[in-house]
Amino acid sequence: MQTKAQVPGLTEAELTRLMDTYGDLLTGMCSLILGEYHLAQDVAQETFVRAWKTGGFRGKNEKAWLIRVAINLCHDYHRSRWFRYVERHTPVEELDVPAQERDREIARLVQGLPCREKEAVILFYYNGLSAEEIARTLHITRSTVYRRLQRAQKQLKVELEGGNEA
Amino acid sequence: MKEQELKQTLERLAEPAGFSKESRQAVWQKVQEEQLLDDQQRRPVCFAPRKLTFALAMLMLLLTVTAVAASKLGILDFAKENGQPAPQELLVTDVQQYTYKLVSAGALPIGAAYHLDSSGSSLVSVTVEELLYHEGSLHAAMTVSPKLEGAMVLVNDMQFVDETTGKRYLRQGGNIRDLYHPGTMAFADNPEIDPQMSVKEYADAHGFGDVIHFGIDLFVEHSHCLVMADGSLQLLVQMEYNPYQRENYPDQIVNVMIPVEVALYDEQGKIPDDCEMLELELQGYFRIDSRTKRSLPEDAHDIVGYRGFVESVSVTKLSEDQVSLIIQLDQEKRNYHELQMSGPNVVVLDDAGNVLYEDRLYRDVNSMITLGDDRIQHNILIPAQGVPEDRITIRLENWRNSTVVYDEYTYTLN
Repeated sequence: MQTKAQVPGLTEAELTRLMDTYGDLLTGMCSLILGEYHLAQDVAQETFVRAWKTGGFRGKNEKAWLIRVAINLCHDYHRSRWFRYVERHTPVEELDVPAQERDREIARLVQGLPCREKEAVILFYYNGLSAEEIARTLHITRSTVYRRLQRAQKQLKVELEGGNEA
Repeated sequence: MKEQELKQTLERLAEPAGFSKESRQAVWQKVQEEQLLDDQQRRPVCFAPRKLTFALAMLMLLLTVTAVAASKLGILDFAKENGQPAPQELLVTDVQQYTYKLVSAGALPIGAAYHLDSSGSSLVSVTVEELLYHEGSLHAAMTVSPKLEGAMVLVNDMQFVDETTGKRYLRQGGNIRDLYHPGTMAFADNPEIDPQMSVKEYADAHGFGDVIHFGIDLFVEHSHCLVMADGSLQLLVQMEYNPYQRENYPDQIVNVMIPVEVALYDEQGKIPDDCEMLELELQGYFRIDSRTKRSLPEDAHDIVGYRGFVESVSVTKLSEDQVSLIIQLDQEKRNYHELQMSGPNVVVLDDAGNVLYEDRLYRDVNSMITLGDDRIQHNILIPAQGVPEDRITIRLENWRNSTVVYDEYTYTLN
């Protein structure tokens, strides 16, 4: 069901373009962060609705803006005490992914990271952002990005192949 | 594991989670509903023509499940079997429409009974007045009453309980935002609430300062955070006892030191997407009611400011017109947790109390300064004639409210 998006933020064409360009990226990122497919879809939907309502990325880096909003929405879920207790129905490791034990093991390790380290790893390795871009997106310093990545790499026992700069 | 392996694995794991056609349709549906709201000039929730008293203020939420899911779940049947009015009798046309998908719908058993549960909080009671199904939407009308006098209670989650299996299902996130929306809240100490009043307006009208989001993700059941008229930060927290069923907790008193996260709401009572988040530690103890396993309301903690994070400030006169200011952070707190704090104002005064310098310590409003760094150095420039010969006072203030002084140091220049 489509409708004319006249006010206040985006046109229908602009919203369509955003969903075409970033829909999969945001959903994948949120799925990795939240470990839940349906929540990831919800967050991605809400991100685009916010984009439509505010047009908030105009004049900024739209990709960074959308990622930032999506991560904020993921934080809303993480803040919920019930998020930790409620049985979630499709954790990442049970999604329809190639049934490789190694993938499942890595998924478990990533899901086991503290929230901020996990976000840094996902933005760096999945979204392909540089430390500088992550810093700008999350509104933190670059040294903080490095520190989070280093902690995550240590916990995941990642063998570095060329430093942290993307 | 090699970096390339991690990268490729993440891509494989994320691949099935592409943005679905259903999600795309849901976006258009929400956009359409938002437009409808705009067209209706965002008419507020109103269950009765008269003004509602606090105790009876109604909170209306709308949960949407897809028609397909609904037919599978038997919600329609449940409504009919339980004597709920036929859909056409429902008066929902002048109610603001909030829509949710029931995330766990696919797992709900057919024919199960549902109710909304308040989790038995001792801070707030929630009575479900009606639970109705209409055209693919589940409508819940609730009465929310606070039990803690003077508290401003923010209801922040809602869950379904399947009475047959005892299984709980949560709808989170969106509920928080919408519950803060004008007209959808019922809280505070017994005034009449104008359904059109926003959280911000309410706080202003009742002598509170700014309304702040206050999130703690461990143990906490209810909380609120307000900037009081005198500029102090007040946190009220209600803890749930031992949710992980650990065995090494004392029976009656729980000591906690936990990170908390604070952000200012915007005028609409929402947390802005690009808001500054203040993270600090909350330390205290909570007496636990042995019967309810929840902390006592009188143990809700009032913590003013966050003094003590800065261990010391040292000043070095670099030249006739430049002074270096180095902030050393509290070692213990720094080691305990990575703390972040929005940049305070720094004010430099001479012995006579004249302000020599005043500026945001960290200029980027949106940046968060990690206090976990060993040192944060800030070079400030003072005009040559302004550099005092002997002592200066450095005061760290809340960047929004100069009456809130975090720490003050007096130093003799080298």
